[in-house]
Amino acid sequence: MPEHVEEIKYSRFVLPFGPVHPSLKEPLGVRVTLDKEIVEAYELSIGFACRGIERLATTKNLVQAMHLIERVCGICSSSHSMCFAQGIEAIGDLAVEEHAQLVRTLMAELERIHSHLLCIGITAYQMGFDAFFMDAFTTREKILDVFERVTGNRIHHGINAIGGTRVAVHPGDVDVIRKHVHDIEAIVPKYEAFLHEGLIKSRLKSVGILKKEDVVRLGLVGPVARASGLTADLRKDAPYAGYGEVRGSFSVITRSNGDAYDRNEARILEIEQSCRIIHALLDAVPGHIAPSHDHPLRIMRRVPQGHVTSRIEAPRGTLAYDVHANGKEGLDKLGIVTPTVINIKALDVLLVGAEFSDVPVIIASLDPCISCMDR
Amino acid sequence: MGTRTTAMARKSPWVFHVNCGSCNGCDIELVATFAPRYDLERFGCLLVGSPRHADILIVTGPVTRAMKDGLLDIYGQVPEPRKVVAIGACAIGQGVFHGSDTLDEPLDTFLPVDVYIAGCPPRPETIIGGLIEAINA
Repeated sequence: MPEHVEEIKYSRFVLPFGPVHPSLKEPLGVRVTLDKEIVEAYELSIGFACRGIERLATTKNLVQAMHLIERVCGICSSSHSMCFAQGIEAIGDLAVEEHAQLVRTLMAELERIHSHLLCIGITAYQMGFDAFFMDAFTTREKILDVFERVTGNRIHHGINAIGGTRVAVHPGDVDVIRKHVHDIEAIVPKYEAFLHEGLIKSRLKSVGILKKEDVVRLGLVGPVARASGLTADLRKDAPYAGYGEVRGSFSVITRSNGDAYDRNEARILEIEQSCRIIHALLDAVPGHIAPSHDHPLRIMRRVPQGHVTSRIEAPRGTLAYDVHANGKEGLDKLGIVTPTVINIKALDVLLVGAEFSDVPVIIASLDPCISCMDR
Repeated sequence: MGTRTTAMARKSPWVFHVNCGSCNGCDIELVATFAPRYDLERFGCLLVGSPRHADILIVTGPVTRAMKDGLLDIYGQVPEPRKVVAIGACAIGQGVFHGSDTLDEPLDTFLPVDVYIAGCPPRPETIIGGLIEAINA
């Protein structure tokens, strides 16, 4: 090397991860500063998918708002509409038929299974294990088949309406759902075996450790919190819809290490518990009952002015809707607190000090859903 | 795929996907299209990680203000001949989010869209049909 050429030493490196990134299907901007291979600092930018739903909902009436709110998220859409409907029903003091409550719960649990399958699949994809990702997606199709049979749609089911559900579960559907859920139960042990495989263990064990103190300090929710040893699940703690009836049929899954491995293991075990809940619900579902005859528009006119906070346990954790009805068929204000916007704060603890190659796995283990987060 | 007349139909069309504020519904159906049940990859279609490798640009979502510049940047990186496919009601005309403060204008007012695939979200079969149309157009 000639003497006049100065050697430049790159010790720090700023690398943008997103907003459009091959491993993220959604726009999330994470700019990481690297010291060699170790993340020294990170900068998060969100809001790329902000559609202003909270503001837009106030310009619509309650029935129209229902359709908008389903589209907060394409993965947990019936959780959102269920939470909103429960809020409106609380304000209007509307009674919901038992069958409708059970159908809502059934849809919520089916949704939890396909959401968790998606998350495990994405985690495998981030590790470069495409075959497993494909397997998880094949299993997921079983749930979508059930949705299609019961509601007519694969993704946005439009099942929840104010005061009940749009469709009922027919006795013929019950057998089909049972068969599909049995199939999934038979596959789940294979997914547990996947986690016990040496290579997978080495990528997930002790990666992205969240201590219980951090979980409490940041107020994290859902499987992320439960994987760190926090026993918090609204389905048990404050049963809503049909969960009161099936309370004894499932247990809350908790793990103790709080690493990426435990978060994924907790999700796989939760799929098993959801299958149990579905079997208990199907036992409880009485014969075919036609949905409530009252027209949604007529019900909407009976909703007075009022304010209520409605909470449910969505697949990713506690989902809260702050509903302010104006008594004139519309909304004064709507606030949506999604579990993903709470859980993304965990990156503060997780990313700094982590190896760069672990960053995609760490982000995936939090099960981020950017459309929920940005609303 | 019929007679292979166009330049794009004579090779394997590679696809790049941009989410411009979609609710995930279309995105998840697009991924399901490439998953084993529908398996679009058997036709040589591949979901790639860089717009520079792509022949077809797939846009989902109502195009939020924050994503618009990024989308135009990505469109500029796709080499010619290129096709733009809009998936879902949002990408076609902002759908249920029409009138929101965070949206600017619909996709086809600033990008030439070749194929519109309707639905909220469209089924994987519809997506496959639309992509075949884009290849043969």
